[in-house]
Amino acid sequence: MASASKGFRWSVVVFVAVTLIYTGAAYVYVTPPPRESLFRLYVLGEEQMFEHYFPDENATVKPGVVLRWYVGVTNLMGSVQCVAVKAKLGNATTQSPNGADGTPAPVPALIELRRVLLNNETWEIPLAWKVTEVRQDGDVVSLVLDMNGVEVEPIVHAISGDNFRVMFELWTLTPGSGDMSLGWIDRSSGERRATWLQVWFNVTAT
Amino acid sequence: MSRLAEAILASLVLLSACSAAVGSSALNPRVMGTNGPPIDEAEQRLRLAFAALNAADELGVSETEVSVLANRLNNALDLLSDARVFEEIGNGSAASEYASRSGAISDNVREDAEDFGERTSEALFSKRVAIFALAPVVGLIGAVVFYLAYRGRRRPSMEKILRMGIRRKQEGG
Repeated sequence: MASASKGFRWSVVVFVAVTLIYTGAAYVYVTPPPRESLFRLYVLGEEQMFEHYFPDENATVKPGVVLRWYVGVTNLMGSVQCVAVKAKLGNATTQSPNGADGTPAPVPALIELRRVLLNNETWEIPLAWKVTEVRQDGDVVSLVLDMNGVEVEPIVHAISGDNFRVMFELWTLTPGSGDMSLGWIDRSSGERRATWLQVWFNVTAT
Repeated sequence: MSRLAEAILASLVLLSACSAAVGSSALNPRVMGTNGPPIDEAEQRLRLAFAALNAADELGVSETEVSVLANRLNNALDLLSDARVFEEIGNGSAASEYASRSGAISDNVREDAEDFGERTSEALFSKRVAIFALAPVVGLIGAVVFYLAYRGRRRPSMEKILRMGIRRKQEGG
């Protein structure tokens, strides 16, 4: 009789232990840990590879020569995202985007393209652009560009036409915030992250 | 038996607490309309639609449904982009028309995303309740199995003890 009572007592202990262990395991199952969230941004040359950004690998661009690049964005955030890619023209002294505090380059965008991207989806944007006009005022050179058929006049100049750069910034729409901003909020750390790219080039009038 | 009843009662209390916590985490954002110029208004409606779609995706709405809604939202984005172009070239009526169409698509996407999200949220809640409701059942099965194993293991040793007799130790042998 004492043996049966002892067995019953241990059964109650087993019941409580199994119930608690199962509940803990179930909680872990229904609340997966936050994963690292990020985007991948890249620029490819005319053959959709990381090369041949300029004809004959010569980064001195002549007016009228069409350059074909592909800007790619991959969403690795774990959910659907609304992204914008902004292309900007800068020179050697233009302040670069700051990924740490989410400050974009202080120049207007030449072109802005937006899209809603599914998780793990890659969006590759063909970008055909050319220098349509080179304006020279002494040593100072300014440009008129054609980007995907849209003519734009950037405010940026460069001495002797050297060290221009096209910067690509990735902006996202944070749900609930209402505005698009440079970079994104990393879910695991809660910090803002940003990614941007640049391709340097020179311009000659002839 | 009263101890077992107390243990079951404690499990049920634990279960209800877990269910309440799970229920409170099921988010369902509500949206409000805005007024303003056609393009700005369409932009705002698009952002609300995206917020609803993102929330639905986070809740676990199927990839197919999210994909369909994302495609429609991309159409709304394209129309909005066209509206901006029309506005830049001074064609206000076309800009307004495109912005209006974009806004209508965004509103539909938002409503569908909220519906999908609500359905998924309810299904998720039921699934979680079922998972946590199984806890005392699994505990009970574990306890019964343990008890039977305990009884099974104790019986041969008890029988061996009951078969024992008293024998005098033989002198010098």
